[in-house]
Parts: sequence; C-alpha cells; structure tokens
Amino acid sequence: MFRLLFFYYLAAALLIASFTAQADSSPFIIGVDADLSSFAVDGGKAIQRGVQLAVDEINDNGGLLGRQLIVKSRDHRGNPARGIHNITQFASMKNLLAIVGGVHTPVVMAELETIHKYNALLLVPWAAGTPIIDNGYSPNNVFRVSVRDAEAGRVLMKHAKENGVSRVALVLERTAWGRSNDRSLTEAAAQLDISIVSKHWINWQQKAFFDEITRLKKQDAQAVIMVTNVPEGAVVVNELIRQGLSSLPVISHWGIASGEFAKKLTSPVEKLDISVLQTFHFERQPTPRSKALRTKYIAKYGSSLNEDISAAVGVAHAYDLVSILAAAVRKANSTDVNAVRSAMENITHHNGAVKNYAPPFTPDQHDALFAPDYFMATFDNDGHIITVDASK
Amino acid sequence: MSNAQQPLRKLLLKGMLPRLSVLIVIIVTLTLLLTFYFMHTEADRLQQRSLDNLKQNLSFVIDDTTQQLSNLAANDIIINSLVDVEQRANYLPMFFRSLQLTHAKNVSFALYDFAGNLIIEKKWNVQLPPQLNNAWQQRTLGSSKAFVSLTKDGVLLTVPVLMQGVAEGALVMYVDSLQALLDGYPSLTNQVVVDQNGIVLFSSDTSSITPNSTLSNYDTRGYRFKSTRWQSLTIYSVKPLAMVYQDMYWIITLIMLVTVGMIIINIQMIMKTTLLVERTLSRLYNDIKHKALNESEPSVFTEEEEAMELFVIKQAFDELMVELSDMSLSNEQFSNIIDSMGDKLFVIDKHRHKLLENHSFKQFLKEAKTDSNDVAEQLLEAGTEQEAKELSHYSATDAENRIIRWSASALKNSAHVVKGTIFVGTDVTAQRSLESHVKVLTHAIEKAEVSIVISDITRVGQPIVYVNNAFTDLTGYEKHEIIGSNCRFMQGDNTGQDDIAELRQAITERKPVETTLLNYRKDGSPFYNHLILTPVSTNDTVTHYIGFQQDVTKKRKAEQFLEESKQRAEESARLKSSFLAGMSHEIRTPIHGVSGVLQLLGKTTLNDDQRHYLSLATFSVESLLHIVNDILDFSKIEAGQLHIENTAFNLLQELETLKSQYALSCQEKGLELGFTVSLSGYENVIGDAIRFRQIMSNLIGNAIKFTDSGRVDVDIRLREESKHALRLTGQVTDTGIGIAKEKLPGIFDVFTQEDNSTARKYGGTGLGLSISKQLCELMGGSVSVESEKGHGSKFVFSVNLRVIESDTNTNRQVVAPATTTLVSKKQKILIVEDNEINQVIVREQLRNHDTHCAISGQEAIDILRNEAATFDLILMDCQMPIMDGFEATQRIRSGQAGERYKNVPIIALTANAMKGDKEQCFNAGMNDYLGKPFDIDDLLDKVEYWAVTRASDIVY
Repeated sequence: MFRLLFFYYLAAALLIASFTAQADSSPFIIGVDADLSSFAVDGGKAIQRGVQLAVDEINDNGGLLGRQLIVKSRDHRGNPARGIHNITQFASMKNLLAIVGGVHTPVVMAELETIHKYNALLLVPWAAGTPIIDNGYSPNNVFRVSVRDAEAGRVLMKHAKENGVSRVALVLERTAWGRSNDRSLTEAAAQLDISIVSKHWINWQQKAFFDEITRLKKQDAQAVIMVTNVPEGAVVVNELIRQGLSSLPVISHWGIASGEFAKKLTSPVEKLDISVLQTFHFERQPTPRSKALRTKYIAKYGSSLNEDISAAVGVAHAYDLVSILAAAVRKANSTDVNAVRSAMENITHHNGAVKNYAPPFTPDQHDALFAPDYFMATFDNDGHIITVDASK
Repeated sequence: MSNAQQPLRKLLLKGMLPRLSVLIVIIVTLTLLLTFYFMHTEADRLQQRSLDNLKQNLSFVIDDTTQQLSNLAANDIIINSLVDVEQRANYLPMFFRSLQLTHAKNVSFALYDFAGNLIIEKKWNVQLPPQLNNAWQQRTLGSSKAFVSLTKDGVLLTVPVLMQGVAEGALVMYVDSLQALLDGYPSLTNQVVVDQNGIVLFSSDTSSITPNSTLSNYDTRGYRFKSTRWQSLTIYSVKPLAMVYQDMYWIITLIMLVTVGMIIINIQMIMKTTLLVERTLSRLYNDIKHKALNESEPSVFTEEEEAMELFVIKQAFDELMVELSDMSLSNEQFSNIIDSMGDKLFVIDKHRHKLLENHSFKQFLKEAKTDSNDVAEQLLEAGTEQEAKELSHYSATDAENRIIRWSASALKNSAHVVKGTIFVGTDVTAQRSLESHVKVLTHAIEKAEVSIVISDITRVGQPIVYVNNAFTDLTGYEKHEIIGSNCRFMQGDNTGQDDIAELRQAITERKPVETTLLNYRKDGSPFYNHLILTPVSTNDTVTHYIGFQQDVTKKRKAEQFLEESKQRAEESARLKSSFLAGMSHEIRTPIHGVSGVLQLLGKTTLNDDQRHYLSLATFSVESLLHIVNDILDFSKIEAGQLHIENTAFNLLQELETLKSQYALSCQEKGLELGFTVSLSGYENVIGDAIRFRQIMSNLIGNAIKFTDSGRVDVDIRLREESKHALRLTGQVTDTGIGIAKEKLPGIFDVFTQEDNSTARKYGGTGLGLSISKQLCELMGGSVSVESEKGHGSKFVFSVNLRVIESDTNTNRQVVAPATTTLVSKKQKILIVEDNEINQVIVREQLRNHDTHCAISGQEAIDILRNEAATFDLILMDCQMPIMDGFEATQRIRSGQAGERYKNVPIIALTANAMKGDKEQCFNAGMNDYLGKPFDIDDLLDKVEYWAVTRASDIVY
C-alpha cells in the first residue's frame, strides 16, 4: 500500500520535472495579430512576412537566450472585436514575447485596454493613429515603427503647399483613424495657412460617394487629402473620375498602400494625379539591412518582381520592430515584460532596414518614425508604389 | 277478341315499367356518385389553393424578410459600426430606431459582434433557449449563412454582416411567434402551421386551434385535413366535413324530387298512350261497325287526342264512306251548307236573274230594305267584278251604316263557260271601327311629349320599328334615319359599360328595365337618357320592347357636382395636415412683424394703460409663438428632422436660469418652488442645452399651470454611468389637479390633455408632453408620470449627457460675448429683406446705425458695387424673390460685389428654423444666424459682436 503511494508520487514528480524541462527549451512566441483574409490582406501578409524574416534571422544566429523563436498568427479581419479576442488568446500563451499588430487603427485602439490588462507588449508596424502611442497608459506597452498621424498631417499638408495648393478638401474614414487624422490635418492646415474647404466622411464598405463629390466639386478645392483604406479609397477616386475630376490631385495617407489599389480603379492610374505617403521603399533606402532583407524576401517568398514587394513598408517595419525587440531581450537578458520594455526604451542605437535608429525609442517617445522620415510616393503603370523621383 | 288474351294496356305496362324503373335507379345512383366525386375534388382543390396561399405567405414573410435583413446587413453604416467602436453609439441607435421590416408589432432587432456579444438592440427582451442560441451563432457567425428558426419559441431570423465574405457580426430579428407575423393574411380555409413536434405555430382560427398547443390533442373527427411540407414545417388546411358536404344535401333532395317526378310522368305517359291507343282502336272498330251496318251516325271525334296514324286510317275510311254517300246528298243539304256561311252569298245568271242566295244574304236584304236586283245593280256599277269593293249599306235594324266588302267571281260550268256571277259579301264594320281606334292612338303617341321608341326584338339586330316626334326632338334623328337600326348607335365611348350590360341582360331575359345611360344626339352632344323599357308580349312571347326616354342630363350633372365636391373636401382634409406644417414657418414671418412693432412701441413714451395693453399684446404674441413652435417642433419630429446637438454647456447655469425664470411665475400664483440639484461635480457637460431647457420648461410650466395652491418641486440628479457617460434624472412634483388613472396611459400622446374641460380651462396645444417625450428619447432617456386625480402629479425623466474631455473643442458657437454696454461706433449696415414690414422693423431697431435696404440679392449686389462708402455689415434674409440670400452670399464671397466685400460679415435672418437651414447658411458663407422672430437685444448683440470682431480683424 505504502509502496504503491510512493510510486505514484515518483511518477508525478517525474512528469512535472519533464514538463518543466520541456518549458525551458520550448521556443518563444511572437504573435502576429493582423488582417490575414479580409480587405487589407496584403498589408497583413507583409507584416507576417517581415516578422518571419526577422525571426528566421534571429534563429539562424542561435535564437534568443538560447531558445528558438516561432511566429503564431491570428487573423483579426479588420474587426476590433476579433482583435480583442486574439489578444486575450495570445496573453494566455506561456512563452509569449510580444504581439505584432496590424494595419487598422480602430482595431489597435480597441485592443489597448486588453494589452495593458494582461501586461503584454504590442509592437505596431502599420496602424498610424496618434492615440495608439499617446494612449494615457503608464507604463505604456505599445511601441511603433510606422507613420504617426500627427506627423503625417503635417507632411500631407506640406506636400499640398509645395504643390501650390491653398484650398483642400478632406475625405476621412468614419473611424478612430479618420478622426485622429482630422485633428492633425486641421492643425497642420492652420499652421500652413491652407483652408480646408470641405470635409467628407466615408463609412467602411460604403459603395456610393456621389453626393459628397458633387458637394466637393462646388467648393472649388485644388486638391483632395484622403485618409481611407483601399476599398473606400477606390470608391472615392472612381467617383472623382466619374465626375470629371481625374486631374484633381489626390494626396493620400498610406491606407491605400495596403492592397492592390490601382487594380480597383476605373481609369489607368498613370492618368491620375495620386500621391501616397510612405516611410520606406527599397529603392530609396538602400541600407545594408534593407538590401539583405530584400534578398532574403525574394529567396523565401519568390517575388519575381524586383522593383515591387507588395506593401514593402509592412515588411520593413515589422522586420525592424522584431529586430529591436530581440536586441532589447538580449540587453535585458530576460523576457520579463517590464525588463524588456525598459530595455526597448534604453537602446541607444539600432541599424535597421528603414533607417539607422539613434535611438529607436525613449521612455517618453514610443514612436520611432517622424515627419523627416516620411516621403510622398506614387503608383507606376502597373500599380506598384514608386518614389516620386523615380516617376519623373 | 278473346278474353284469354290480355288487353294492350296491361301488356304495355307490364313490358315497360320494370325496365324504366331499373334505368331510373341506375341513373340516380350514377348521378349521386358523380356529385359526391365532384364535391370531394372541389374541396380538395380549395384546400390545395389554401395551402399554396399559405406557402406563399410563409415564403413572403420569411424569405423576403430574410432578404431585406441581408440587404440591411450589407449597409455600410452597419459594417462601419463594427469597426468604429468609439463612436458608433452616436448613429447606430438612430439607425436601429428607424428599423421596420414587417407589419407585426413586437419585432426585436439586435446587432451582435463576431463572437455573439450584443452590440445594440431594439426592443430586445428575448430569452432564447441555449440550443437555439448555439444553432444560429454556429450557422450565421460560424458559417456566414443566414439562419431561420420557426419554433414555438418564436421566429428568429439571423443574417451575417459580411466583410470579404466572412461574418464579422450578425443582424438578428426576432418575433415572439409566427402567429404575429402571419396574422391578418386572408385564408380560404382554416390554416395551421405545425413544427416537427406537432406544436401549432400558427393557426388562422385561434378560437378552434390555439397556437402552441399540440395538434394531435385535437379531435379531428368531422374535419377534412390536407397537409404539405414547407421547409421543416408541416402546414395544414382544415375544413369541417359538414361544410364540405353541406351542398350535397339539397342536391340529393333535388335528385330525389326529379326522380319521383320522372317516374310519375312516365307512368302517366304510358297510361295515357295505352288509353289513347285503346280508345282509338275501339272507336275505329265502332265506326266501321256502324258504317257497315249503315247506321249513319256521324262520329264526334276529339281529334287532338288521337294518334296521327290511327286518325289517317280513320279519315281514309271516312272519305271512302263520304264518297260513297256523296251521291245521295240532297239539295237541302247543300242549302244547309250555304245557309250556314256567315258571309252573304248570291248568284245571278247573265241576265241578272237570281240563281241562288243564302240565309245571310236574305237577312241583309231584309235589314237594308232592298232587293237582290238593286244590290246586283249597285255591285256591278261599283265594279266589283274587277276587284273587291267596300260598300256602305244602311241597316234599318242597327240604324247605322254597315260596311260590307264585296267580291265577285265568274260562275262557270264544267266546260269553263261563264254562266253568271257569284257575289260574296263580308261585313267589315267592326274591323274598320278598330282601325280608326288604332289611328287615334297612333296620333296620340305621335304627339306625346315623352320620347317613345319601339323595337322588334324578334328580328335580327332588334331594329327600331317606331319612334315618335318627341324622339326626334330629343335626339335630333329623323324617323327615316333611325327606323331599322338598333338603339345602340346613340351610345358612345363614355357610355357606362355596366349600364349597357345591365340593359342587354334585361332584354335577354325579357324583363322590364329602367336605367340611366349616357347617349349622344345626332349633333354629337351627350345627354343622360333615363330609359324605361317595357316588353310587349303577344301569345306569351315577347316580340317588342317599348322604350320611354327622358333627358336627365341636368339631374345627373347635379349628382356629379355633389360627388366632386365630396372628393375635394376629402382632398383638402389630406392637404390640411401637410399645410399645417408648412404654415407654421410662414406664420413666423408675420409674428416677427407684430413682435418687432410691439418692441418698437415699447421704446416709445406710453402711459400706464397703454403699457398694460402693450404687455397684453406682447404676452399674446409670445403665446402664439409658443404654439407655433410646438407645432413646428412636432412637425419636425414627425418628419424625423429634429436632431440633437452635442455641444458643451454649463448645466448649473442653465438650471439657475430656469429656477429664476419660474420662481417669478410661482410667486405670482402664490406657489412655493423647490429646486434640488446634485451634479456630482459635473457643472459643464456635453449635450443639447436648448432641448434640455425645452423639456424642463414644459414639465415645470405644466406643473405651475395645473397647480392652484401648494408647491412645485424640481429635483435634478446627475451621475456618472461609465467613462465619459452621464445620466441626468429629473423629477418635477406638484400638488396640482393631478390626472385620473384611466387617462394616464395616453397622456404622452399627441393632442392629449387630460380631458377637454382641462383644455378649455388651461389652454395649450396638447403637444408639449408628446414633444418632451420624443426629445427625452432622442437624448437616450425616457419620461414617465405618476399621478392621482386631485393629489398632484410626479413627472420623472432622464437624458444622457457626456463629460467634457479636456481636448474636446467646444463646438462652433458663434454667438458670444458682446456686452451691449460696449457700444461701438455707428455702423453702416445693409439690410437685404423683401418684406416691407420687416425692413421697417429692422431699420427702426437699428436706428442708431446707418442703414440701407435692398429688396433682393441682386439689388444688394448692385448697391454694394455702386455705393462709394463701404458697408460694415450685411443682414441677409434667406428667402427672397429674384435672387435668394444663399446665392447672394456666395456671389459676395466670390467677389462679385467687389474685393472689399469678400470678407464682410453677413448675418442670416430667416423665418425658417429647420435644422438644415442653419447648416445651409454657413455653407453659403454666412457668418452668423438669427431666427425670426428675434429680440431687439439679440439683433443689437449680433451687430455689436460682428462690429467688434471685424474691428479686431478676426474675419470668418
């Protein structure tokens, strides 16, 4: 009887020991929470691939703290409710290192509360809403390598000003992202003495924009500043074409770069005057890391088009974020969230694909890219994003 | 004729009756079977049709509603709301409030997110069973497909809200029972819808089969059931057997009666036939026997009772007998024959010697006191040998002339040699008298005032055979134009087809008819013809129709006029309601006029009486404006155009103002006013200050109005619901007349005061509470009342407000500081206004400034362009002839009135107070907005404000 109990005890102890041993060598998880099947699937895939390429590189160099990394993806389809659900699932994973977010500002905005509730790290490679970083949480667990709307507003307005435009119309999506840009664009317009002659809101999946463009037409705007994603952007530009405004310059935030925008237009893109905000292009930033990244990308994903990697910003931002995270874990020599966060804030220098960050983040600044890092790009005849210089 | 042999009658009866009986039995049985079969088929067909209808209704209610729901789920507002978590609360409730897909009441709607969490609902007090909840979520959220459930728990329709083909949420509609959805559709038979478990989901006759009961529990004997499947449900058509076969009873009775009749008739016929045959044969036998025995006894036959063949045989036999006896016929017999003639007959030879005369002729000679020679002379003279002649003879017996028609023919012998003349005379006196009678009648008809027409309906085309002169007068057709044709030619395109059909039907049935129909005269002019047709029978056959016609056009016109007047009255009632809404805008302009003039009057020197009269007039204008505002608000709510603003305002200040405002009226009535306010530290909030004030004013105003003594208490509490959301709960209690219990439920309805006597005593439009209720609901709250007749009332209301966030910019609120004390220098102001009264008022109100007037936008631009001095400010009416204020403003802004006016301050003055107008004014480029009627002080404040603003150069 006693002997039997002893055996049970021994067996249980062995079992626990083996689990513990396994946990020690089991890989760390990087979560990707992005739209992988809906309207911004191209952006989502780009982020996923950027993360994967960074993880491959880290694993090839022996992993982190002696353990391998793996990528786990969850599809939020652009739906904030799904996003929150995904974060909850990631937070319950034992070896989670950080979560990389997706394209949509409304989704990330909705996730902030859950992220901080579970004290998880959120790395943002795309969503641009200003309040994503200026979120009021302390400590702040969100880090971004991407456009910041407050800065983007200035860049878009400055671009308008440089092109001699003094009267602009705004087209904004009716979400937290649209409203974030409404504030920054209004501010920037006032500073640059540009008048906003009309303002138009568009719903997600809205299919008609006739009345709005008719109204816009009457206001005699010299350019349209557009803050939408691909489907809504196409509706807006197609309505401009239909109402004979093909030549009206469209200065767009980068939402239309997250998918095959040009293919959805009713007129060839070269006949239109569309410029789009970007932070990164392989041609423009030929840093050593960007060159290496491009080579690895083509080797792994076999892009036959040399000049285009679909939604290249997503790839580069995600790659840089994961690389910075790896540097922080090494620096902290720990995966404890508080330690890693502190290390992220205190890295002095990082050579990334997008640029050389010096430093990437500080305790007060969780944004890594600012107005000087942004530039305006356009679409070539095949619908690929090219720098404005290249188009001339 | 041996006795051993049976008589013919018995033989015939014996042979025919059994066969006939068998035949009748077979026919009757067959007829009954056929009838039963057809009734069965008919009932089956009816039930099938009823089932088809039910299927159609079900498919309409379920499939079409599901389709509509799907269309709704594809609406971009719904899709956007899934993404726009932050602000969807601002537009989703409005969208949901307007949802209405079926005629059924108690329809609930809800929007769920991808994981089945509720986002928003409408009337959703539904507790679905867990397995149903799982089922729809799996299908709609899991498989992105629409889901329909029809069970005893109700009708649940769910559709996915799709993004790129996958459900990101679900739109759900729920009705507590299928009964509610299908109620009101007409049904041919009783209809029942039953689920897989036999539970009744719908019954068109709930008194016999109640919903939610089990169908198998009912006693189905005596009913005919027909069923079919619709999706997973079984649907039944139920018809009581008694009803199916009720027609059978009288048909059986009828068939029995016919059968009995047939049998009787047949037996009768057989009997009659046999009797006839028997009698004829026996008579023939007797005749022959008599003739053979030369017993000359002429047989008296009733010929119609005799069979033709027998008759012919007998006749032939008779002829034979006559020819045999001819030879022996005596002269006396011949005399008897000619004497028996009614006509007068006499024969003369060539020498005018009388050869023969009959009794009638002799009688004639006696009556006429003449002899045959004279008569013969007279007849030959008159030439009767050539043709028949009518001659008049005096009859001494009758003491009058008798008219006799004489004809003469030659008397020839067997060798065709003329031997003399035979005269035959017929008395035609009666006939002639009849003819003259007819002539008189014809004349009378001919001269009659009423139009008379006669048609021969036995002839093809039923032609007119007679019309009188009045007909010609009425229709303009001459007799020769019309005799021979059908009356129809007077009908035209506009003749009522129903009237014609009625007429034809009556003629077909040979019945008299009276109708009025539109006919056309020869000259084409129409007239209403009141027509009375009477059939004329000869020998029981209708041969003619006599028609009396009368022109009733005037009468008919009067009837039509009455009908049109009635329609016009109804139309105007319809227009009245929309007119009311329109008028309330229009009324504001004259009220503004009156109000303005009164304000001006108030600034003049007045004695106490005049001042009192002025205050009465001002009070009346304010009351009138209040009523117009109520109606306008209500029209806006009705039209869905009332929008709630979200701007920052000082709640405490707002309540203080209300308190001081009503303290005065309470003091006047001797009431105590208590004000308790607890704002939990939120003095400034976001919401619609004006609408909030409106609700408060209405409730406090009512409390004071309906309280004669005691007190009115106001209690306001504000508490934080969640982050940023505030809930304001208000309570207005009075010690007034209260409201009777039975009147409470309708107190928030339109035009309701407690009763009419209340309305008489206290006045008001009856719209206030209804508007307050709508406003509370638009602001996310509600209002309710507790009261008891004679013990005061307590109104409780709530509205949602929001916390001011630090970075929320207080909305564009143009009206601002401008203390009237800070009087600026004299301004040069252009007043653009087409209404002369309003011009005078504004000019007078701005007496301290230099004002100019223009009566249209065009004139304003001309003045601005040509006047040397520069205007500091423009007051612009919006609605004007030639060029309205919006266009004028746009032109001024575009520099058409000169560069110097591109940025001149323009203040809109408008009688319209609809929400969109304000937006339109700002969009047109106006800087500010003043709704009519306005106060002098408001106008002066605006002028002052814009003068100062312009001076400091903060323009537009």
